Amino acid sequence: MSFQSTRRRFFKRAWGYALLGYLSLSGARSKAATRRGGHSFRDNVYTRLGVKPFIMANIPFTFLSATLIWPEVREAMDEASQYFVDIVQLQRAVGRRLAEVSGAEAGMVTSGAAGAMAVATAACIAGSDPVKIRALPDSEEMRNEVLMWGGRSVFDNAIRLAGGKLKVVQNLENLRDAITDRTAMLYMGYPADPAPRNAPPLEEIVSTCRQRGVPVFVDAAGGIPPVENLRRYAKMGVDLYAFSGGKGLKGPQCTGLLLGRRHLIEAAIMNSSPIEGAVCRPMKVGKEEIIGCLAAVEKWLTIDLESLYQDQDKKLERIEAMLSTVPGVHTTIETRRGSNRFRQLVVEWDESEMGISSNECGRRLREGDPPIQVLSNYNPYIIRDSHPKPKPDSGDRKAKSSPLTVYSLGLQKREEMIVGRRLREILLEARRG
Amino acid sequence: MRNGSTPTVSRPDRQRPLTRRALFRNGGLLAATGLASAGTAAANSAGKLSLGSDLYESIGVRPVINATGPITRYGGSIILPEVREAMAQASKRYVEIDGLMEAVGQRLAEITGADAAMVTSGCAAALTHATSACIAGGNPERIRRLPSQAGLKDEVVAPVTSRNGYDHAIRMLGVKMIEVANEKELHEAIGPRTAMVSVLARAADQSKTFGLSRISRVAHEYGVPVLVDAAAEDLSIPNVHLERGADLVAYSGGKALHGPQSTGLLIGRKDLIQAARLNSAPHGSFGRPMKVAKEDIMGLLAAVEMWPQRDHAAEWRTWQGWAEEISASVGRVPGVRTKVQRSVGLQQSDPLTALKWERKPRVEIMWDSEQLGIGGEDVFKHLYNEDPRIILRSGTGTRRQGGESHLLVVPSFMQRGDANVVAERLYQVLSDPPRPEPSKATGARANLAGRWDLEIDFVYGGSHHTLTLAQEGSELSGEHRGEATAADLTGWVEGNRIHFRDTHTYEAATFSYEFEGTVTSDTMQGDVGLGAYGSARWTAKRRPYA
Repeated sequence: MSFQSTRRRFFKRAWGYALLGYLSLSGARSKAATRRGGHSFRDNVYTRLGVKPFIMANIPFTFLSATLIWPEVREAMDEASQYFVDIVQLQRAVGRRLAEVSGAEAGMVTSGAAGAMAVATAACIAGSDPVKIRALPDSEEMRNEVLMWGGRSVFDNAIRLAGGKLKVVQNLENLRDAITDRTAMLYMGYPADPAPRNAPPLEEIVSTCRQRGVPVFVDAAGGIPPVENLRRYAKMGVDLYAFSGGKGLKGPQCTGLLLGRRHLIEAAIMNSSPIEGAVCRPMKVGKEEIIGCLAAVEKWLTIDLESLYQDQDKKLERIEAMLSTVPGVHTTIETRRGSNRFRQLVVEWDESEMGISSNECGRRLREGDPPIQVLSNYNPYIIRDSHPKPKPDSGDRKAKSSPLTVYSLGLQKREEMIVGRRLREILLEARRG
Repeated sequence: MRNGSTPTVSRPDRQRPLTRRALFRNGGLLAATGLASAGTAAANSAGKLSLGSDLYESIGVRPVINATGPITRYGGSIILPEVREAMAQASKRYVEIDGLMEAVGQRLAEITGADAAMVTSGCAAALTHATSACIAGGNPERIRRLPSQAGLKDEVVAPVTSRNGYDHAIRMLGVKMIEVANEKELHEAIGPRTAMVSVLARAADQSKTFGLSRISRVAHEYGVPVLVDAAAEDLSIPNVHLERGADLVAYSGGKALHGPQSTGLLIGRKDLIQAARLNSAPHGSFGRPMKVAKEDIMGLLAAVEMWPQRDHAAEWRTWQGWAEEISASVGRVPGVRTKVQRSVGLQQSDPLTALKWERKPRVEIMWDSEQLGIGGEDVFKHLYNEDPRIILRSGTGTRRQGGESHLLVVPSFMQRGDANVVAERLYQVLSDPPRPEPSKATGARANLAGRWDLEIDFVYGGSHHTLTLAQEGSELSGEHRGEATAADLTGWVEGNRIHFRDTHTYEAATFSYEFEGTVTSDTMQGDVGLGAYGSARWTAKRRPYA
C-alpha cells in the first residue's frame, strides 16, 4: 500500500471517528435527524396506520415505493388536482412538450414502464382502428408477433396481455429471418452502453427493422440518469422507448414515459385510459400523475449530473468514513453500471473473517429501528430471468462474499449518519462474535 | 374535424394563460368571452411547465368546467382537501408497498364493513385483478401463465344487461363472456370453465326478476364467485351488494369518493382479495402494469375515511341549487323547456345505506331544433370549443335533422362559481345561437347509390371496408361493413359534400363512425370521426357493376 493511500485511509478513519463522536455527543441531534418538516419519522401518515417507514439506501424498487418525488413534482401534482381537463388533450400537450425536450416526435405518460410496454404493444398491433382496439387481446386476425431481442423479459406479461405472441431472436441473422408480415414490433431490454463486444450496435438493429417496417421498442425503465437518454434513442431512430417515471426520474411512482413516433404514440393513446373499450384502460394515470411526470422531466432538465453525483457522494463518503473504522471492510464509491446509474457505495468483507454475510447484515439493517433498506439479495418480489444475462464486469474485487451496496439518492437529510453508524455497529458486533 | 360525443379540438388549443381563478377575478364571463376571440396563439407550440395556477395553460391545455359529472376523460373528480394533504404527506416517506397495502386494506375493511379491501389503479383494474384472482387464485404457476388460458378457467358469465365497454377489463384475461338472460340460462351457463359471474350494479339493481340476490344464490350453488362493478356508484355502508351475496365489489376512487383519479377500490371476500393482491403490482404478474403509488394508496384511504364524515345532505342541497339556477336561467329562453331531476333512486333518509346509483340531481333541457335554429349536438360542441371550455353530459339533435333537441347537465362535479358560468353560457347560446357556417358544397347534387370500396387510413394502420349506399333526394341510407362489424348508416348529400354516420356494436359495446367529405364522380374522400378514437382519413371508390 502506497504512502499516499495509507495517508488517505488515516484521514478517512480520523474523519469517521469524528463523525461518530459527533453522533454520540448529540443524541438529541441524531433524533432530529429523523425528523423533517414537522412530521417525524415516528409519527406520520404511515405510522398512524401501523406501517413503519424506513430509511432508503437501496435503488428505487417498486416494492419499496420506488422514489420520493421532487418537491416541484409535489407542487405540480397538487396544483393539477384542482382543475378538470380533457385527459386526451392533456396527453397530447404533454407529448408536445416531451417532444421538444427529447427530440422524439411525441410522447405520453403511462402507468409505469410496464404500462408503456403494454400500450406500445397494443399500438403496434391494433393501431387506432376501433374494431382492433376493442378486439385485443384477441389478436388472431392481426399482425401480432413481437420479436424479443436476446430473450424473454420477466415483464413480458405486459406484452402478452395486449395480444402479443412472443418469438425470441438472438442475433441479426435470426432477426432478418424472423420478420414476416405477422411481425408487429421488436422488443429490446435496456441496451448496455457501450454494447457488449459481440452484440451489434443498436443502430443496426433499428435499421434492419426499419427496412422491413417493424417498429422497435426499447425498454429503458431504469434509464435515467443520465437524462441524455431522453434524447439518445430518438437520435438513433428508435420508434418507441420507455422510462420508469418513479425511479431515477423521481416522478410519481405509478408513472412511465413513452416516447417515439407521432403516429405510434397517437395509437398508444387510443389504446389507453381514458378510452373506453381499450385493452389498457385499467392502466390508469390521473391528471395529477401526468402533470407530475412532466414536472419531473422539467426538473431533470435543470439538473447538472456532476453536482447531483457530488451530492450523492458527500453522503456516501460519510458512511465510508465511518466504516473505515471497522477492520477488514473494503469500500468503493462508484457509479452503478447498466440501468439505475446512481452513485453507490460497495461494501465488501471476507465473510468467514467477519462472521456475517451481506444478506444477514442486510436483514439486520432492515429489522432494526429505524429500518434501513440497502441492496443485498433481498427482493421478495423479483422474478428472475430464467436465462441469466452476463453480469457487468465487477473489476478486481477481493471479497469472498457478495457485496452489500448502499445508495444515497433516497437518503433524507442526515440519514446517512444513521446508516453509517448502524452498519458499523452490526459489523463490529459480528466481528466480536 | 368535429365529431360525436367527444369533441376534438377544432381551434387553437392555446389561449393566453387565463386561469379559472383569473377568470373570476377579472369579472367572470364577460372577460372570458371578450378575451376568447382575441386568443390567437399557435396551436402546436408546447411550453415549459409552469408550477403556478396557469399550470395547464402553460403547456397549451385549457381546463374544463365540469357539467358532466364523474368522467375519466375529463379528469375524474377534484380530490378532497384531506386527500390532497394525505397524498402530500405520503410522498415524504419510503414504505414497503405490500405492507402498506395490508395495513390500508385492513383499515378500508373496517370502514366499509367488508371482510377485506384493496386499492387498485382505477375501477377497471379492480375488475381485472378480481378476474385474475378468480382464475389463478394464489397459485404462482397460474399467475405467471396469465393471460394464457389453456387448461385454466376461461369463461365469465354475465347477464346480458350487464355487458358494457368496461368488461374489456375482464376480457383482457383472455376469457370469453357468456351472456345469460335469466336464472334458467345462468344455471345452464355455469360449468367447470366458469371463473366468475360478473354483474353491473345498475343493471342488476333495476331487474326485478334477475337481480343480484338471485344471481348470487345460483352462482354460489356451483361455488362460483360473483363480482359487481359499481364504478361510479356511491359507496354504501354496510355494502348493499355484499349483503345481496356479491363476493367482490369494485368502485372507482376518483368519482363519488373524490379520491385520486387513478385509484379504484375492491372490497369483499378475504381469500379473493388476497389473491387479487398477488395478481397485481408489486408482484410479478399479469396485473403488474396497473400500478398504484404510495401517494395514491394513502389518498384513497383518506377519501374513504372522509366518506362517512361528509355531509351528504348538504352536498345534495348545493347540487340541487346549482341545477335549479341553470334551469331557471335557460328557462328564460322562449321555446326552451327544462326539467330538474331531483332524485334518481334516492332514499335521502340515510345516504350511507341507501341504494343510489347516480344519486345526483341533473338538468334536462329540451327545445325544437328548427324553432331555435340550433341543435343540442351543436350546443354541446360549441360550449366545449369556446371559452370558457364547458363539458356537458350529453347533447342530441341537430339543426339539419330538426325535431327535438336535448341537453343533459350534471352539476355534481361543478366547483363554486361554475353554475353561474354554465347558466349564463347556455342562456347566451340558446337565445342567440351562433350562425351556422356557410355550406362549402358546390355543383349539382351527386348521386352516390351503389357499392363502394372504402379504405380507412388510421393514424397507425389501415383497413378495408365496404359501403352500400342508397339515395333518395339528398338523404343517404345504406350499410357500412367493416372487418368484423357492420351497421346501417344515414346521412345526406349537398352538392359535392357528403356526410353520413353509423354506430357499430362489438362485444356488447358501441362505437361510431362519422364520415365527412367530398365526391368527384367515382371517388369520395374526407375525414372520419371515430369518437374517442380520434379521426382518420378515408377514400372510397365506386365498384363498377360487371
